[in-house]
Amino acid sequence: MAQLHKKIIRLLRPHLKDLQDALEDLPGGRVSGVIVSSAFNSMSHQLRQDKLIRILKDGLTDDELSALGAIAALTPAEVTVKAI
Amino acid sequence: MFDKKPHDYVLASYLAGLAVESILQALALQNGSAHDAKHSLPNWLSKCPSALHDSVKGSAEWNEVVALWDNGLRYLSFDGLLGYFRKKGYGKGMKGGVESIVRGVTKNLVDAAEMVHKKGLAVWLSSTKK
Repeated sequence: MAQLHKKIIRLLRPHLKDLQDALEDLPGGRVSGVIVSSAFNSMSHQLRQDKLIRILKDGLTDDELSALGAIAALTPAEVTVKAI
Repeated sequence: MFDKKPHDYVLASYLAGLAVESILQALALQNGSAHDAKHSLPNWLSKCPSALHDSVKGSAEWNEVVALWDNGLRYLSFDGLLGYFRKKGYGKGMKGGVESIVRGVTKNLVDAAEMVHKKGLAVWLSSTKK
């Protein structure tokens, strides 16, 4: 796991209950993917993204923030329920 | 499918996400990635140019499409779609009958997918300009 990936998870874990890490390390040091937490239950998609950005802006440098890719913030149900 | 009767919410939901998957695949393949048969939108995005990451980063629309779209949606009946949305936690607090709930969630998914697709298309067009 790349350094930035570890740092992101370390920053998020205290704020997001039952955090599951499905982030990917991409070429060039970029990190993107999915995180899952029951803390997102009953939160709108915008609020989830706002929460993520608020936490990460406080803990990452500008260079690290620019290496951040898109991160989808999902609830456990959104991950486990499949159409078929 | 969505606005005209008879409404087909299953097909509207499925095609909304398929449009997103298609533009992601086009960008990923153009970016040199190999094709694979999986239908994970975050995985396809990970193979796309950084311009698209920057474009969808922090977006509620990307979050919603990833949360709701599934390649198996096309196999569902109307009742199946309702159950799928409910199990995922959607439709709570929406007023009206079951059709209102399915219509509301489907509309949000279609709107979100349209936004993400537009962002992908913008990256595609800028990358193919000569």
